[in-house]
Amino acid sequence: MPSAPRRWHKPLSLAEQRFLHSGAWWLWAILLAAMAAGTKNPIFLLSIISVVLLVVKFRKSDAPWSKSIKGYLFAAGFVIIFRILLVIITPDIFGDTLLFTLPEIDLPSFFAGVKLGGEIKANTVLFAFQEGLRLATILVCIGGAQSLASPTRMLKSIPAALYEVGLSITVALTFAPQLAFDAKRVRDAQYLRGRKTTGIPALAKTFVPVLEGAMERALLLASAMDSRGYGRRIHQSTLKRKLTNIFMLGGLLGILLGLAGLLGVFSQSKIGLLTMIIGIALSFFALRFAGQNASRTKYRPDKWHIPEVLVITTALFGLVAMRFTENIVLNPLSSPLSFPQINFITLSSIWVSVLAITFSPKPPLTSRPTSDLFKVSNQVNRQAA
Amino acid sequence: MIKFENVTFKYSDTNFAILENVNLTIPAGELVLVVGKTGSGKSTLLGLLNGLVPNFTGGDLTGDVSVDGRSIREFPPRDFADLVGVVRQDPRASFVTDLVEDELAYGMEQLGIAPSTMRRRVEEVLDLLGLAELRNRSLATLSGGQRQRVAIASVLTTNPKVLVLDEPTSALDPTAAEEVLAAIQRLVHDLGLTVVLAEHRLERVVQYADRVIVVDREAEVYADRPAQVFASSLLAPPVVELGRTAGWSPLPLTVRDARKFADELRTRLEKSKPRIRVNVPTKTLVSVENLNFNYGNLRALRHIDLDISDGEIVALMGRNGSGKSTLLSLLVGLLEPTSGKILVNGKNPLTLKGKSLIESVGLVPQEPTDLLIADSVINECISSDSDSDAVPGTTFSIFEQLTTDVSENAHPRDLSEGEKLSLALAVVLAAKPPLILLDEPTRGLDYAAKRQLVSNLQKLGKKNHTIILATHDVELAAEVATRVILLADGEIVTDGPVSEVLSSSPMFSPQVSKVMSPANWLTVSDVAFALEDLR
Repeated sequence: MPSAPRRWHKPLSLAEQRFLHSGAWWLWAILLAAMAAGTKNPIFLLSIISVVLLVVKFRKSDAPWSKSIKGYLFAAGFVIIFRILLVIITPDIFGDTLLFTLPEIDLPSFFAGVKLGGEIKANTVLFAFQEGLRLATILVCIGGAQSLASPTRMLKSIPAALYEVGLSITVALTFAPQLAFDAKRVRDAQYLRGRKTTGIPALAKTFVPVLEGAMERALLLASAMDSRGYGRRIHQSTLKRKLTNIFMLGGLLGILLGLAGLLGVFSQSKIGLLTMIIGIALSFFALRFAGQNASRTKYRPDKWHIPEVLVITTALFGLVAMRFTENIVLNPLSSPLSFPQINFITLSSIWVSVLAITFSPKPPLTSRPTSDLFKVSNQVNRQAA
Repeated sequence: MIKFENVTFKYSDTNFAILENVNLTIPAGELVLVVGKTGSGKSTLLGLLNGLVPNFTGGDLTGDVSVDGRSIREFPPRDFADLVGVVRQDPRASFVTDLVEDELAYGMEQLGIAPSTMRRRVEEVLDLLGLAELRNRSLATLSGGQRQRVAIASVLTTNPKVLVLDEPTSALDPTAAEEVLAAIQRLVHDLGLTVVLAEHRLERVVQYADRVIVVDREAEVYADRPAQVFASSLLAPPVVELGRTAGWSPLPLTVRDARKFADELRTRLEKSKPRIRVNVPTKTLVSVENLNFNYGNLRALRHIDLDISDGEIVALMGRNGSGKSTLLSLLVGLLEPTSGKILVNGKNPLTLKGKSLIESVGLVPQEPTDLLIADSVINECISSDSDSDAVPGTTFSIFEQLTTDVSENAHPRDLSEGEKLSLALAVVLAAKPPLILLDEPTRGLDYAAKRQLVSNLQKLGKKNHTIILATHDVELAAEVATRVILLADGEIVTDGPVSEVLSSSPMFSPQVSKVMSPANWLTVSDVAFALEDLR
């Protein structure tokens, strides 16, 4: 009896170590970011950040790209501080609780409307903090996705037409650490010649050799890729390529207009929705069209298993719950000052996303397991003895 | 399999042809060794095999090169991907992906090979090169030997008929080199692959070669059996030179062949002793006490205790990653010890800066060009004189002593590897530091350049400079070192006179010592000197 085509691949045991589909991590993170975009309540936002950090802690791999979360955390902290500092140059419009008074600086008349210093009210600071925290949370979500999903595995899941773009991103990612390494080498050499290694002249002297090295490596890599068959057997007529580009551009324009519409730029929100749909359709068509001729194959592409679906589902609860939450809870007022209200159903729905840890498999180790190191050193010790 | 027909090639920025009228035929299934001085056109010859030269380098090509009937005049390099696998000197520069398994599949993905076939071939090649347990590893975490094997594996998956390797072992320690060469040999024997391999360290590869191509700018390029080539060639591994010195015939190419003659030579030299080359120390120059250094969680150096006197030439040896370069960086103050004490000439290197640093210690890094910043040899020398407040012309006169005729207007980048090293060494010597450190100085050097380096180092040693070299090159250590320190996993395993350490270690003993054991001879020059004495 011919069996019906199987929709899902056989579910894998969670005990097996593998990479979860990169797309699944990205979707999960985007859903969390969408939650963050919809609220200014610090308790919800801090919950989202904690969820992301917990999942990253337990499910990131040991590969270098997994460390990117740190950079995003720095950026997030910077955003909050910067947003609060900005308060100082914006005039206070509202608020009743005076925090402290800064000396006011008079600016020339053409800076009308901008004032430096003056009365700083707690309400404005709180308002700035809430806004800053929202942006910071979105940043942490993106950072989380980058730490959880391997960029090269992501490359395998993107449509063939975008292969070149994806490839340049991957190559750039491997180039960045190399540049840092080169810069260190050049600085070391300056030190060895007994020259200054700090200050602007020294920096300028580092710049040229590092750039030279990068160019040289780029050429080497290009020739290596060519000799391994990159760009082979992709024959596409000029007309077809042009058509694809037109479709692609049109599609992107449609999506942009659609987004603007959804955000309420146009008076009628239906126009937005319509252009959005047309845009998505056009881009999809363009991707399909361009991908047809690329005769590359994919080695073990990530596949969608049940864990992938479960991980994404965990992030849906919070989003749905937030739709039914009162606005005063989602966006607490900063004037008058008050402790933000909490809706426990919404809060726990947000925390459901942390279950992604239990539903996703552990990533395999990509660097030398430490036990291996011990083995080597023991052997040496025995030999020495 | 490979055919060169009347090939003449000239790079567009030079006015001479680097290869002239080359005619060669390489049959299928052979392991061919390409030898020649640096800059003689070896890499050009290898690059022609899949058309990277001239497609990527530019230049004028006349004549034709064809592989399995496919001509490089008609097809671009990418169309050779299923026929010629190319592995570069530094595989890191050609990795495209970040995991071992993906790297192996990359070439096949480009060729559009069916997923099921890809899966099978990846498994086969993983087994063939013993990489199965490394399949999930990130490429950045591999050791040198593993990296080289992954690079070979990644070009093998497309089932090429020819494998081209440019100095596959030059950056590797002896053990890792052995590992890579054993893998290559298996490919030739089991798969019938044709392998074309360029290598300076002949002592490592000669025994595997079926045929040798000699590339020389002054003479015709030709291919012959190894025995014929090395009977007359200036470039020869130590075992061949030993055979020539002792007058053996037929000339042995491997240690095994040579051992058959060794009895006779040992009896001839029964009463002779190798020259002793230790200076009388007058003071301790470097003293290291309980030195520890960690990179993050990794303990790179542990409990190092060391005293080095003036006039000593110390070879630091050990696997890749055993802590050699780290120790050199610590001695010159580039790194700060996690704990422990270092004194160089009585001072902590961390307190030395600028002129006081270059007057106490000089380091020639792995890539000597790192040190060179000017756009011509003469400008480099002038800037070095001013750095060290030396009399103008000092650096250039040192450079002239270290090397043979070089135009002073040449760009440092266009010098040969040996000349670059000499220039960097001259820059370091201009400030007259008592301690000179060299990191892997023989990488990319041919035998002539190496001989020059050896004599330069010996002269410096006689002038009571202290020299510390981190090196994988056993033959270099045997030639110049007075003392050898073996490091393993950040600890000193052995520390002793060169003759004791090198003759007792299976991995780190030079060819002459392998041939002559149990008698304690390390180098051809020692043997030649003793034979001269007998006459």
